[in-house]
Parts: sequence; structure tokens; C-alpha cells
Amino acid sequence: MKQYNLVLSGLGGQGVMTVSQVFATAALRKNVQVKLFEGTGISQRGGSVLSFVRFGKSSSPKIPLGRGDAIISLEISEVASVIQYLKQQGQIWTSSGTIHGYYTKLSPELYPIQDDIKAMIRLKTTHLHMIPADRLAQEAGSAQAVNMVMLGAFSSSISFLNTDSLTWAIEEINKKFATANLNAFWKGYEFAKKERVAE
Amino acid sequence: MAVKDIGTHDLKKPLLFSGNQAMARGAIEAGVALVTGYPGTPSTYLIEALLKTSDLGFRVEWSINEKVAFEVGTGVSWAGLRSLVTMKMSGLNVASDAFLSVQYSGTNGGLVLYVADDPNTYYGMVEQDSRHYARLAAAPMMTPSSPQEALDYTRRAFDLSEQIGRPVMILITTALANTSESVTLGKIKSIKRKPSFEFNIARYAKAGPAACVQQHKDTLSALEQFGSLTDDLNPLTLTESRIGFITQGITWNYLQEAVHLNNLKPCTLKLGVANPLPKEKIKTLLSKIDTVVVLEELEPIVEETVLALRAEVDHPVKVIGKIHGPLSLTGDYNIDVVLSVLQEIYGDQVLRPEISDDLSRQVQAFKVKRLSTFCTGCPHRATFYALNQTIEKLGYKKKDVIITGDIGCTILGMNEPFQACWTEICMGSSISLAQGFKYAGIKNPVIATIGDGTFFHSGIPALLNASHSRTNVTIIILDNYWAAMTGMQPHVGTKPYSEDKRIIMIEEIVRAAGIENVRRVNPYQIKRMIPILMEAISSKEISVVISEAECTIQKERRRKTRVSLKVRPEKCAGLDVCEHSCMKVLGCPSIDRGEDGKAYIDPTTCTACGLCHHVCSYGAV
Repeated sequence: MKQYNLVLSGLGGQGVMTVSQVFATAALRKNVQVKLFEGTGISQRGGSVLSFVRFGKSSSPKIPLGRGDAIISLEISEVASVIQYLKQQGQIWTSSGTIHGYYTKLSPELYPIQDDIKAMIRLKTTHLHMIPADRLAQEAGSAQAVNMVMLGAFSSSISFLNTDSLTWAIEEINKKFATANLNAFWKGYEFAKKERVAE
Repeated sequence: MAVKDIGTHDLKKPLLFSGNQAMARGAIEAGVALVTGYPGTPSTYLIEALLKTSDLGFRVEWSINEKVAFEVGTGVSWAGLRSLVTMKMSGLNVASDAFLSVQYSGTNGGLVLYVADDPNTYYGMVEQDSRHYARLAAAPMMTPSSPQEALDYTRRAFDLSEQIGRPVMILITTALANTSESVTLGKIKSIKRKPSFEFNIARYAKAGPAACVQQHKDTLSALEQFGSLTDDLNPLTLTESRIGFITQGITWNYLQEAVHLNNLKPCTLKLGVANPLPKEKIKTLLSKIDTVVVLEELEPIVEETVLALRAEVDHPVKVIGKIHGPLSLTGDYNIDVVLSVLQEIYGDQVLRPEISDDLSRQVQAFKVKRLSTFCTGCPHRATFYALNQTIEKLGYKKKDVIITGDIGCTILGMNEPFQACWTEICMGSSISLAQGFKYAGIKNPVIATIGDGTFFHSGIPALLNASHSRTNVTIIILDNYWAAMTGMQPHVGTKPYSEDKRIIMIEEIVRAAGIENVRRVNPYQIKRMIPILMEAISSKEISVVISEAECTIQKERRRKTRVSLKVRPEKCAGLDVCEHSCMKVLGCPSIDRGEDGKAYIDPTTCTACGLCHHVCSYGAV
């Protein structure tokens, strides 16, 4: 298949790595060539996390700047961390959720305003999909599963991996929480599908 | 990919392996008898992957530090069986004394030394280029560029080690450790050897100058032999182009993609071996080109060799690298670094992405400043809070009491809101550094803070040194039972752990060191903790406080029910009003700002450690 470069971002603990593992596992099952890069750091204790999932033939584990096809972000300010990897007019799927830390809890004005983030995004692309993943995850019965909601929402937009392979991968990776994760996945998928119809 | 598949005998099943998992698999396929090492990101996951796999049929365990790990691995090798020893680059510094000596003595069963460098220090510490160790030890070193190569090189390294009778090093970097791709597996060897070892002091001891110089000569021969056995790992591809690239390890991938994107076909020399460098091949390349670009991360080791060999070629060759720019001595490389070099050489035909300055500026502005701090409920939060309170109660200003820090989760005490640790050198240095400050004549109390894993790793000699000299330092050992920062690995003092292991008690070691002023206390009991710390710090003799409570993440993993604290909003003064708010003073990730500006505790993550309850002067928790 033609190369497709996916960038994922979020904060430590949100499950960015799990999502990238799901993509990679599903791709493997479908014999789609895939390469995965997991960029951690001091992520466990509150820091940024990013990962690259490269479908199709590629050499470098990291995506060149300006060559990402899509960004999936689990936290809205974290889009800024990875937006330079996106090509002009690439796709951005982000949760509208915000996660505050020490500094922004004490001084909320330090956290960027959503409209400003949107304006920054517009410099790169008009294809912004904002998903109320926090609410959808709650509705699905699992507040932790923002990552699965975003995965479901994004999956409604691609054809090289179908929902069968992705849901199989979700279960493969964690049988214990499979039901909760799949609920969240479908919540995100249905929401995104409706949003498309509405456009 | 499920980790349990690392030991699979099913060679047909497609599996995605990370660099570390691939190397773990390589060791399995090579029929290794022991894998040991010390936790250190990004090397940790190799042993973790093996520990999570059942029915391996060989021993896998963490050692107390890297030097001990290497020596234990040597014992297995000298007895004729195969061993793999793993560590991050900082750990190699610790193991180097043993490693250099064993490199010179030689080995019997294959002994492979795995080292992970971390260009751009994603995980902190010194940005060092461990290829220098290969040079220092006259040791062969392989540098795989992909998970598949990592697997193949590791498996082959054991055969090579046995062929030349010397340890073989394999170097990877963070990027490779964190990259996963589909790999082809090989059959798992079953090696059944009877252990044996012969008396031969010329080989196994350092028995005088003649023997040692002979060992050096033999080591150099072995290195040369390795070079001739691994010619295929350094493929040279000559094209019509007069431009050539030399890569080391992972930079090959960046070059491949960059030239592919731009339809370029330069000559290439892909180095899969960092020591010995294939000098004849380099000369052959230089003789066919006018410009050579050296793509290696960190030190210009290959570049310096190229510059030296350039003198032996009959026409001038331009060398592009770090010494005269434009490539950097610091940080890691990526495809964008290579693209910018390509642009310098090939000009504007090279495809570069448009990175708008406006967007770059905005991105910087939107980077939310985030604090690296202790996890919710961490006992270290309690200890550092109590320590700061104690110093204040004793009448000292913060800037007047030096607190040395050490490696691991305890060092997070250096960040806000505690800003308690002033220094961090290497494992175990907190105690000895404190002794040094006292020797310099610092009159005020000097306090060393060190974690349990770190204490066992290297803190004990420093403790004995300070006790022997009766130096008046205060040592706080923060015992949370696990080597936590690297992912909760056990160490010799971990409890509860395995039934067949003897648990070593920190308090007994401290007393055995002759120190009588030693107290063990639960840090969450702040009211008990502060007087104990006061006594220790005020004492005119060396004192130790063991601040002991299990790592909360580990504890919570075993907990069946969830307990959390709650803020009574009617009593809370509000985060903007309260001068010493729980949030400001503790920085606990589970304390949020509520809609009403009051503190709100997240019930899904709070572990009810009680610190906020203690800190709140309004009794709102």
C-alpha cells in the first residue's frame, strides 16, 4: 500500500502507546507493512508522549517533518507538540479534552485558549476534527478510554484498516478491558460517522 | 504483539518486535544460559521482556549493579556457557573496570555486552558516545540499524565471541530501542554444555607485566580477526555518483529515506560495526568520490578516521561532518537532519518541507509547561515535604542547607514545589558528595537523599566511608522497596518479593556500618517524621533516617478497593486565596482546580495518602 504516516500525541498515562500498538497489531494481521516508533521520556510522571505509526514502505522510524498524513491527539494542547510533522492540509483528529498540571492548575491563564489553538491549526490545515472524547468515554462507561474513543473516531475515516481488524487488535492487546475498550471505540466511531453525514 | 511470544517456536507467525525485544529474541535463539544487567532506560525493556516470558529454560535476573552483573556474566562465560549482560550507557561506566579487564583476559562461552546510548538524552544523564569504550578496550562493537538487524546481530554475536575468544559489544540507541517492526525469527538453539574452568593465571589473572602486555597483544589480534569475520556487516555500494555517504547504526535509515524521497543514488558505506572500522573499504570509497558525508551521532569517531585516510588517497576529497560543520556534536539525528545536509550538497532540487516561521513561533507559545513530579500518593512527596518543613522549623533558610540528590524517583525532589535536591551526579554519589561538602568546611547541616535501589547499587561504600571518618552528615534513605523510576524492578531489598530470595535489610547494613543514630519511619506519619528528622539533622554525629513506605503504584496494583479523600468546598478557602494551598505546597497530580476555584480531589486517582489532609490549615480535607 502507499505510505501513510500517522502521528499520535498525548500525555503519559492516556494510552497513546496502546493506540499505536493497536494500529500496528491490526496492520500486521492484514499483512500491511508497518513500523512503529514510541517516543517516551519522563512521560510516566506527567510529560508528553508521541508515537509514529508508518504504514507501507518506510525506512526511518521517525516521520519527516511535513510528511505526516494525520495526527491523532488525546489532549488538545498536545497537538502543538507534533503539528510540524503534519503535511499541509493533513488531517487532525483531536480530543477537545484538556489535562492540567501543576502550573496551569495554579495559573489557569497559562493554558492556551481553544480558539487560539484552532487558529494555529488553521495555519497548517482546515481538516480539523474535534471530538468530545472525555464525554464520549464517560458515556461509554470508561472515563479512562479517551484513547479508544479517538481510535474509533479516526478509524471511520480510513479504508486501509477496517474496524474488524482494529477491534480484533483491541481485544488481542488487552483481553481484560476488551469490553470497556470496544464500547469506547464504537462510541467514537458512531460519533465521527454522524459528524461526517452532517458535514 | 504480546510479550509472551518472544520465546515462540512458531517461526511463521508475523510479530512486531521493538529493538529490545528483537535482541532478547536473539539471545534466546543463541541458546544463552544467563541474561543479567541493571535497569536503565532505554535498555531496561530487554530483560523485562524476558522476565515476562515463561518457559525460557535459562536464568534471567537483575543484578545489584552493572559491574556485578558483568562479573556474574563473566563467571558463566568462563565456565563455558553463553551470557548476555545489558545496561544503559551510564551503567557501562560502572561496569567498565570489569569489562576492560575481561576484554583483555578473554572469554570461553560467548559473552555479549549490550549497551544503550541515548543521544539527545531523552532519559537524562550524560550524553556520552559509548563507542569510545570499544576503542579503549580494543573490543569489537556491532551497531545494528533496525530491529531485524538487532536480532540477527545479537544471535551472531555469541558465535563471534566464541570464535575470537573475547566479549563482543552491541550498541543501540534510544531510537532503535523504541522502534518496532516485523521481524523474521530463527530457530532456537538448544545448547547443552557441561560447565568447566581450567587453571591458567596467564589468561585469567593480571599476573605481572609480561602476561598483561601479552593479553593486550592477543586482544588486538582478536579484534582484527573480528574485522575479517564481519566484512558483510559493512556493505559498500558504489554507483556512478562522486558523492558518498558513510552511516553508523540507525543513521542508515534516515539516509535511505532521504535519498529515496529525492531519487538520489550516491555511493554508500553502511557501517554495522563501530570497532574495528573497515579502513580498506573506507579508502576504496574515498578513492571513487570527491565528497563524503559522515552520518554518525555524537562523536566524530568515523569522521576522524576518514580524515586520516583521506591523506592516503590520490585526489582531494571534501569531508562533510561535524568537525567543520554543519552536523552537530550534540543531540540525535533524524531524517530532517539528513535532508538539510542533502540540500547543502545537491542544492534546491532536494525536497524540504515548508516549515512556516509563524507556525513555529505559535507552536512554542502553545507548549504547555508541565511539571515532572512524584506520582499521586508517592511516599517521597511526604518525605520531601517533611524535610522542607523540618529545615524551616530548625530556623534555617532553604538556601543555607545543602541537600544532595541521587538517581531515581527521589531526584524529582529537585523540582517544584519542593526544590529540595540540589545535585545529581551518578548512582550513590549523594552520600560521598555530602561528605566532601563537610570536608570543605560547610558548617550548616549537609543532607544526602538516596533511594533504596540506588543505595544498594553504589551507596554502601560511601556510607562506610562516611561512617569510618565519623563525618557529620545526615543521610535520608528513601526506601520504597522497588527500583521505581525505571519501571518497578526488584532489588536485593525488595519486599514482598520472591520466596527463594533472601531480603537484605537496609537498617541492618546501616548498623553494621557502625552507625547508631538510625531511625526507620513511615513518611506519611508527618507528625512523627518531622521530630525524627530534626533530631537527625541537629545531631553532631552521622545520622541515618530510613523513610520507608512501598511505592504507591505497586501497592495500588494489589489493592482490591479504591479509597480516596474529598475536599469539603465550604471549608476550602479557594486556590487563589489560600497562601499555602495543598496544590501549591504538594503538587499532587490528583488535586485539581474545581469550577468554583476550590480544590477538588480526583476520586479515580487519589490513593488517600493523607498528605493534603495534613497540609490543609482549614480542615477542608
